[in-house]
Amino acid sequence: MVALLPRLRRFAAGLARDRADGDDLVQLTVERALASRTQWQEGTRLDSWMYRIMRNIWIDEGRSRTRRAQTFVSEEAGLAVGGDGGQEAAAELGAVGRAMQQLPHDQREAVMLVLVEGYKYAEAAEIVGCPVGTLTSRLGRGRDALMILLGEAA
Amino acid sequence: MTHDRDTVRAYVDGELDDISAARMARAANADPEFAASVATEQLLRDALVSHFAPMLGEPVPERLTAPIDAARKVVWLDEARKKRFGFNAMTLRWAGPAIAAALILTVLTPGSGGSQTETRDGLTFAANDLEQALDNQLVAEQQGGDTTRVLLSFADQKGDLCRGFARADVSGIACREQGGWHLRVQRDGVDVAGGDYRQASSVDNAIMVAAQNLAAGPALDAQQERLAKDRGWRVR
Repeated sequence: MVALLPRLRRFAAGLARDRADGDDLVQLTVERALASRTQWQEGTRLDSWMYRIMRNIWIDEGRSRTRRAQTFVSEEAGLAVGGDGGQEAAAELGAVGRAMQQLPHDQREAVMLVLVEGYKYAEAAEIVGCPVGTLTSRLGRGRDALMILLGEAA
Repeated sequence: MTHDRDTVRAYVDGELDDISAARMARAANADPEFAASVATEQLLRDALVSHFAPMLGEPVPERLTAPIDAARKVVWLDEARKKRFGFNAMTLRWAGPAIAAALILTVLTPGSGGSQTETRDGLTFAANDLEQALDNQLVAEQQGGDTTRVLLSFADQKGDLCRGFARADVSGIACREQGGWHLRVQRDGVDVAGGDYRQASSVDNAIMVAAQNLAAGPALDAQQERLAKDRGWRVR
C-alpha cells in the first residue's frame, strides 16, 4: 500500500482542488482502506480497489465542497482573483491544471484514470462503477474541452 | 481514408487490437493529415502525464505512510508466521545482526555534503554517495567508514531488485530501474553519531516494514546479494 501512495497522491491531486485537499483525500482513503481491508479480495488489484475508495470519498465529500465554492465565487473569478491565496494556487496549477479544474467532475476523473493513470477503458469504468460506453463518452467530452481550453491558453 | 475521432483516441489509448493498431500506424505513415490528428491526441496525453509526473517523484508525507506502517506492524506481530510472501521472522533474524553491526560501525562517520538524490523524468533517483553505496556496498561487508548503511536487499513483485538504506540525511528504499536507483520510499535520515540508537532503530524498523510491503519474498542472503551485485543489480 505504501508503494501505491505516490500514484494515489497524483490521482488525488487531479481530483481535488489543490494539493493540500489532495493529501487529505489520500489520508481518508488510506484510513478507510485500512479499516475495511478485509473486504479487499486477494488476487484482485489493490490499486483499483483503492482508487475506487478514493473516488467514492471524493464524490461524497467533494460535492458539498464544490457547491460551497460555487456559491461564493464563480469558477473563473475564483481562479483570477486573489482571495484566500487563489492566485498562487492558480499559478501553481499551470495551464493544464487550470484546464482540468474547469472540467465537470465526471469528465475529470475519466481523464485522470485513462490518460494519466493509464487504466484501460474497462478498468476505469469498473473503478467509477459505470458502463464502458459512459466512461468513454465522458473521456471524449473531457478531451474535447481540454483541447479547447489548452488551445486558448497557448 | 477517414477515421472517426473515437477510433483515433482508442488507438492513442492502446485500446485497439494489434491488427487495427497496425492498420492505424500504416495509415498515419501514409497520410500526414491523419498523422497530425493522432499527434494532437498524443500531445494532450503527454501534456497531462508530464503535468502530474513530478508528484510521483516527491517524498510522501509521513502522515500518509504512518497509518499504514502502524497497521502493518500490528499485522506483522500477530501473523508473522502466516505471511504469504514469506518475509518472516527468519529474515529478520538474518538481517537483525547485520543492522546492529552496521549501526555500530557507522557511529563515528558524519554525513557527507551534496545532494543524494536527483530527479529524472519526474522520478527521484539516488545520486552521488548514495548511488555509489547502493551500487557497491554489500550488507555483509559494510565498513566503519560507510556513510550509508544498507539494511537489506530484496526483489519486489515485478522482480526489480530493491535495497533499504539509512544515512544521516535520508533513509528509504531504492529499486533498480532505468539504469539507476529509483527511490520508492523516502524518509528522514538518522544521525547515529549522536548515539541515539533508539531513533536509529525506529528508522530502521520503518524501512523494514516498508520493505515487507514491497517484497515478493525474503531478503537476499549474503551470497544472493553478491550475485545480484555481480549482475549489476539487473533482473535475471
